[in-house]
Amino acid sequence: MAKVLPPSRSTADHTRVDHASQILKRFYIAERTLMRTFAAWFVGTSQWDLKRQLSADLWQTAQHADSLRTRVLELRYPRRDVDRKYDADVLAFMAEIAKASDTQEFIAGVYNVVLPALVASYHAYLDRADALDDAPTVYRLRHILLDQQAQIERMDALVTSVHPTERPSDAQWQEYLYRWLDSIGGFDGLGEKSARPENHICAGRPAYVVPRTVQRDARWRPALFHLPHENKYDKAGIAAWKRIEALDQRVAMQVWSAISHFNEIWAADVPASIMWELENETWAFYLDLARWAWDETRHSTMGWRALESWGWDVPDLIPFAYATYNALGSVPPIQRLALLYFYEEGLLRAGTKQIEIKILESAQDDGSIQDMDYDWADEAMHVNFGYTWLKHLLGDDQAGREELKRLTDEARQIMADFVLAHKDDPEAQLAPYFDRLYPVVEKMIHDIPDDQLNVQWAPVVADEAVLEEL
Amino acid sequence: MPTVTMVKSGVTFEVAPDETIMEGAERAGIFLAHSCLSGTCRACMTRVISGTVEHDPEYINYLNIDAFEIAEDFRLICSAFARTDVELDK
Repeated sequence: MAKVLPPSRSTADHTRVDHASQILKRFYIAERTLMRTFAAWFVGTSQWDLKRQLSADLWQTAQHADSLRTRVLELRYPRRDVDRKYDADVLAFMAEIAKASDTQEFIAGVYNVVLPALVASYHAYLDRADALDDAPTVYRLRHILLDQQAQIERMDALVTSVHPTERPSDAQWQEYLYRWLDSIGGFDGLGEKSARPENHICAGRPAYVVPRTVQRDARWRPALFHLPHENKYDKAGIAAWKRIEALDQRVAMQVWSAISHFNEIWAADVPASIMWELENETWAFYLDLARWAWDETRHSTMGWRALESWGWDVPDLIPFAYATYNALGSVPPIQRLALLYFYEEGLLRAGTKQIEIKILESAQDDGSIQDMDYDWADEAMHVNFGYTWLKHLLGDDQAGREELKRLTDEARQIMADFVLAHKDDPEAQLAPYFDRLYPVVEKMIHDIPDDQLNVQWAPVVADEAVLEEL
Repeated sequence: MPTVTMVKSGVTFEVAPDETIMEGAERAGIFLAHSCLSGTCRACMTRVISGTVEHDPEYINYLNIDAFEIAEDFRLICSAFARTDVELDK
């Protein structure tokens, strides 16, 4: 007989390091895939309030995935395997989530099934975990839980206001996902595994395809462009805008910056679409693009908040445009990224943000100044993202640089051709918006001491010829 | 202190040895396009016409500028020091 002391304490099952890392890797895969699925459906969602929440939850989910991935690597897990050898059953389940028939169904599946199941799995992990031995995981999961419980509550309130009626098909979809999740033993894989719901009415749907063209919220009239620098052929729109400019450069900048921010949503759609279409990139790529998509949604929200703050009927007075995304919807994802990078780097190199802030300071509009200031900080980071990841995708050599230039030039031409092809569309005409807006603005303006502002400002666009004509 | 001359605008200012060109410009009240102030956004990238401009060696590996751009005398002036009197293509 051997001799031992009594055990110092008892432990739960599945809490050794090897088990913990395997379970946490399943969680990481689930969050990583959920993040990409949020990105895909963010693009596929037009309703403005839902779109904002999907974007915020996309970024938070990226943080959760990153936190879990970091922890997996702390648990003697091979670095070379953390982004491969994914659990096939988790991937298969997560692929089903994206196959919702519309946004309402997607939200029902994610916020009523997936997130609550993740929350339950994390609670179960915490119940098993030793708060001392596995303290770093406990810390991470507790924080993820705070986010996810808040996500569920926020969306529950929001979706009730947007879609007050739950459809029978939504319940069917949720039931399908519940059964699917049971078939893999839950997110931690520790549950009893049932049969896959292969004969369910929701089974067998095709894989989700990210939309090549987007629509904006139905409360807004369809609009191709949002400000006159985008369409040099819209003479009436340019003239209508110049009436607003004539009120005062400061007033024009307050209005311009708010409309411009609001319409940055296309710059969120682009990285989000790429996150879905490029499936096997390195983790940091997705982390950065998730941030980019969320930032641009924040900028769009900044503009919307400013427009609302003036008490305006925003859907009536302000165009919410879709041309930039749709014009490039059919080009490869890398080319879309190249054009987005070109636009953002051009803005910063021209010093546009600095000049715009000076004008807003002269207008004494603290809210608009602060919005622009944070937008500027974010955009500086996005240029870093674009520079880094385009090199990664195209090669950090002369051939890569030449390809980037070719892709960018071609994308600019596609954009210019799109504008030309649609120049006479009713949806391309901005004069009706600015004609309605002018008296509203004129009625609200008031006098402040003139600080003799002497700043030359022009909008920066890809096509320099447009600038000259303006 | 080295003198920086912006050839296109004709503006001149001095920079201290431990001061980036951007910091010197700001101290002199001169507007130069910039954003990140860390050499990653490329907003301040400028061609050096004459003189020696050296990137900050402390974080040179984090700068987003290509070797061929450096060879063509471009510098990120938010993260670079004037080591002699210099002329910039601005």
